[in-house]
Amino acid sequence: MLRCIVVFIEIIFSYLLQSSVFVYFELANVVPDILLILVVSTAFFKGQNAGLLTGLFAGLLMDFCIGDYLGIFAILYMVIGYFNGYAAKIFDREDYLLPLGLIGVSELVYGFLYYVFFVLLHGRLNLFYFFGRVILPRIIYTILVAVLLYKFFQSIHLLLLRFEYRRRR
Amino acid sequence: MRRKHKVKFSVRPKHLLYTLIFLCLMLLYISYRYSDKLAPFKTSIGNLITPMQNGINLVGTYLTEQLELFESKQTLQEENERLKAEIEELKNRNSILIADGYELAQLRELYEVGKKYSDYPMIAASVISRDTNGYYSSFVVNKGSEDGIKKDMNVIAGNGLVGIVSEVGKNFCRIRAIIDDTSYVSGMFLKTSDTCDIKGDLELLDEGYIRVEGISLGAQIEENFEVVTSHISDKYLPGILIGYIHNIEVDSSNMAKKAYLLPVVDFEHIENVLIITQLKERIENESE
Repeated sequence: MLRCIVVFIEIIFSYLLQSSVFVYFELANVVPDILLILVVSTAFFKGQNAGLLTGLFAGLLMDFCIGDYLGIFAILYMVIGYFNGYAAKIFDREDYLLPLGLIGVSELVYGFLYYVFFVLLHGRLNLFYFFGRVILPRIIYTILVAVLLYKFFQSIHLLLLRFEYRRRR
Repeated sequence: MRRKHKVKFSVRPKHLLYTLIFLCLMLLYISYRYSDKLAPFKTSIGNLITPMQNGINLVGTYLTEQLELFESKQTLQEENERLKAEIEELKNRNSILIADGYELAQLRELYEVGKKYSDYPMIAASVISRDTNGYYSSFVVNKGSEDGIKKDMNVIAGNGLVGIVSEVGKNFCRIRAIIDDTSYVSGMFLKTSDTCDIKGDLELLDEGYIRVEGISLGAQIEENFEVVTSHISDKYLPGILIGYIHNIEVDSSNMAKKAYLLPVVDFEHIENVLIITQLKERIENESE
């Protein structure tokens, strides 16, 4: 229960960070995808169910705030959370390379799917232009920010773990 | 409690994913189909988020403002220098524009005159040099033979006669004003058609007058009558206003009256003139 609340707060925090704070720190006209970092991290910590639920709510928040129709972002983030949940089985708190790699790949998938859903359907076929212009800078920037934020989310996760462990005893 | 947990986590992720994707697709369809009805619901969540974003934005703008304050002094100084130079340039341009504005006003004034004497074709010219001590008995303007200027062409400014072209160069001409000591104009009272001779007189110049002589004794003239160029003049076109008559008195010879004439043209401040490109002789030739 506590974890749910914490994750919920994390979602809102991430969204605010992404939509309001990093707007001031745009690099190459892109903003890092903080919500994706959160979804991937949560899936990595807690598995597929947690990952896909986090993705669902994060996506719904996006849908409500910036989407035209409800559900698209929810599906995108949910799928990402679900597949990243597989990696929870090899979760290691000392390993930073795997989650960063996962975030990068996830962002690539997300960028591609976003392109398909939102850009390609508007008749823009020039994938490579958008890849160089948006997707790639976004991947790089997201990974750079993830170096810091993953650590932050992980420490919250570890705190929660310790708290739950104590309560169970 | 623990059991509930177990039950909850026993849901297989794959099924959960399928269910939720299905729900999301439903939601997508509903929001697409009934977008109007869902709009308030959709914005309500945005309304919750927006104040937080506003707060962050306030902090963000504050921070960026602070960051801007830290912008290096040198950059600001350079910018300052650049802007100062720009201001100087703009000032320059502005003064040029103001000068142009004055010129425009003057030219417009001249154009009014042009309308008044629209029978005559004329060329506008600007005074480029003056050569008198104080008053401009003669001056040089920037139009010459290239522009079709010929000797003895009449020159007007404001709403009255200025003088006559006395010398023509390639791109300039010298104009002898009617106030010049050697100037002689045959004038006529507009109301009575009595003729008179208008002579420049250096002595009277300081008072701003020109001497008028040769008025017949029987002329019914009064103060402030208008004097124009007469028909009998051999160089000046008829009907051009010269000035107003003052100080009428009988000549010492008792054969004529003499007076002072106050010219309508302000000779002290002439900047633009109109040169009438029609010569007196030509009119007479045409009329014959």
